[in-house]
Amino acid sequence: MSKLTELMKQIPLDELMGDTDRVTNDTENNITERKITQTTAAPEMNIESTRTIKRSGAYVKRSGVLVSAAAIAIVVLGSAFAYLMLSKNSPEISSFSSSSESAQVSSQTSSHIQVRSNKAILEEYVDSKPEHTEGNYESSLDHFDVDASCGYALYRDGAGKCTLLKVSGGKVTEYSELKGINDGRKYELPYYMYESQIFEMGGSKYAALLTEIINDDEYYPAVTILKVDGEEPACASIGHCRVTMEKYCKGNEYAEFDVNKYPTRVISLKDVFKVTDSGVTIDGIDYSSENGDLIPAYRVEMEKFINHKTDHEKLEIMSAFAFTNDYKYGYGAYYDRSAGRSVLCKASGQTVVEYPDKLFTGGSDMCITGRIYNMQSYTVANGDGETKELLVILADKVTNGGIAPMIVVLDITSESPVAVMSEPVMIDMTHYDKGAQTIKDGDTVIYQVSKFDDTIWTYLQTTDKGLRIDGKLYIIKNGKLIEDRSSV
Amino acid sequence: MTDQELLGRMHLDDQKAFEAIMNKYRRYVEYIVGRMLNTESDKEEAVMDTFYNVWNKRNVIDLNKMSLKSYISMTASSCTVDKLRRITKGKPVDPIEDDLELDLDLEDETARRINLDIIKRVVQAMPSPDREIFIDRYYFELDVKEIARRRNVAEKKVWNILSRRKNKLRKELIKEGVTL
Repeated sequence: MSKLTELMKQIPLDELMGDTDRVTNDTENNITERKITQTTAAPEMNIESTRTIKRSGAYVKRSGVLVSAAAIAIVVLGSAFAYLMLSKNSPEISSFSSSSESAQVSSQTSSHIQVRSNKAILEEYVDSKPEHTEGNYESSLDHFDVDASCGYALYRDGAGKCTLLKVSGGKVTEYSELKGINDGRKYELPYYMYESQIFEMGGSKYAALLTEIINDDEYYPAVTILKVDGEEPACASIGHCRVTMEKYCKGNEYAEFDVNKYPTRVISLKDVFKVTDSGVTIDGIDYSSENGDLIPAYRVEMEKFINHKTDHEKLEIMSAFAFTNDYKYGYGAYYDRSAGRSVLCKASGQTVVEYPDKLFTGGSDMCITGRIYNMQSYTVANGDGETKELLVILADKVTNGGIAPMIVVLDITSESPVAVMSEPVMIDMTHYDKGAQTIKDGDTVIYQVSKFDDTIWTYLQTTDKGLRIDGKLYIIKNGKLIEDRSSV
Repeated sequence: MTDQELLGRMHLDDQKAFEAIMNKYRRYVEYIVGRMLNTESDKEEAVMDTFYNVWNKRNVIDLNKMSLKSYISMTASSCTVDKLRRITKGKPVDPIEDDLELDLDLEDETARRINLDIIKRVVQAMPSPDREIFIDRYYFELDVKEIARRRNVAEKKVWNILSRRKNKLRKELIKEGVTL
């Protein structure tokens, strides 16, 4: 500190600024009239306020409720006072002075009183990361609180890598991906979090987040629902629900979307998300609460549809379910034991249709003669501008020779599903058979999916080029999904 | 109750006295931190840090050397600078050169007060934005680049203003101040 600074700091700032002529005579509150006006102008009631956040030359408005300045002051004073009283009685913290040390102290005392905000703790944690000390400051932190002692932040380092940080009781934990609430699927982290809303559903706490997702260099807005009261954050199985900006952008510039991009056409969370009696509504689509997770409401309609069938006893209801990337349509299946085949259903809103007879245009061999275990939709591009939305189905194939698992892929880009492969991919279960679950019928070994891992991701991986099924790469070419032998 | 009386009670760990100090000066502290910090959470934390430090130092505050208001002002500006450093991700504020090249008498209390009065008068007399820039630099210890960004002026202009105003202050101190 220079001598001049040392001297200047001994002069009250308002006197240096020449504000003393505007200082009130109220010795209880040494404050300029201007400041008093700012402070007392806020009404005692909560006021709706809008703040604007800048990023990359674009803006997004966020709405929130601000308590009055007086209320904030009371909270600050109360917290500060309790903090000081607490620290006075804590010999181990009596000597610290730096900010980082005080953050550590706050974590020690946070079970008693919230002294440092969760955000402050997370900021300090990020500040201490090696990339910061190495001079990489191009990072950001999107933060939300679950309650006074628990908060989350999405942290992007200078390279754009995202990490979800959770602070609970002063302890920070990192997550590089999200796990599903009830399934074993992993979800990538969003790239940005713009807004958050904490809500309760079935006695658990969730966070609805307005996020930005980057997928194959395309970025789009989404609503992500996280269960936030467990040990780990968990993502609802609806994943990152894409928001269709066409509804909100009235001009022609919505093709390349950025939440912040259009100052006059921005969306906020309240535009695209609301809590309902049965679950939530995201971008106009209803999702129902089920076992702590969320499912599209049309799935419920589909279950009703199958339930109402007269030969109900012979049906195995809803053995699998998937929905399209835009969440507008859901696909499910039931297994008709008497007919020995699975029947695919498609639902949207309250409308359900089924494809009982001619499921695929690929011929009778393409009928799924066994039970469907899993299905999942994927968007696959080949890099030449050809893109397909595919429905990948894991099922048993029942033949005269026994039972074998297979994967069937349908093109669901258009109204009705059509096969994109000339024949199903039969999974070589010797890759997965550990010997314990094989069923022998004479000399025939029967592999049944249910005896193994019936999770579709065991046999399927997505890649930049296409789908890898049972270790083999399949790519889109001329509207069909074919095995890529170029790399063999 | 005067500041001296309140401080005396704080020496005895009187919580109510400290509460009274906070009530009396909190808006003043908000005013100081509010000049440099933008977000409510940052301001809140700087205010809390200020009073935390005041409480911690209650037994060493000497009102014969400095008024309580001055001490709180100094503490608030230090906490604000600390907060700014954290906001800028640990980027250190540039060390400020010892720029006056004067041996001011700071030991003698009368001489110190005379010198402080001169500094106050000269800074107060500066036109805007020179005064704000001067305070940004020598009170809040911001680096020139940050000042230029905040005040929306070129870095070169900031340097020029600082140099010109510093020379003016130096002349006044030579003319009327107390040097060793």
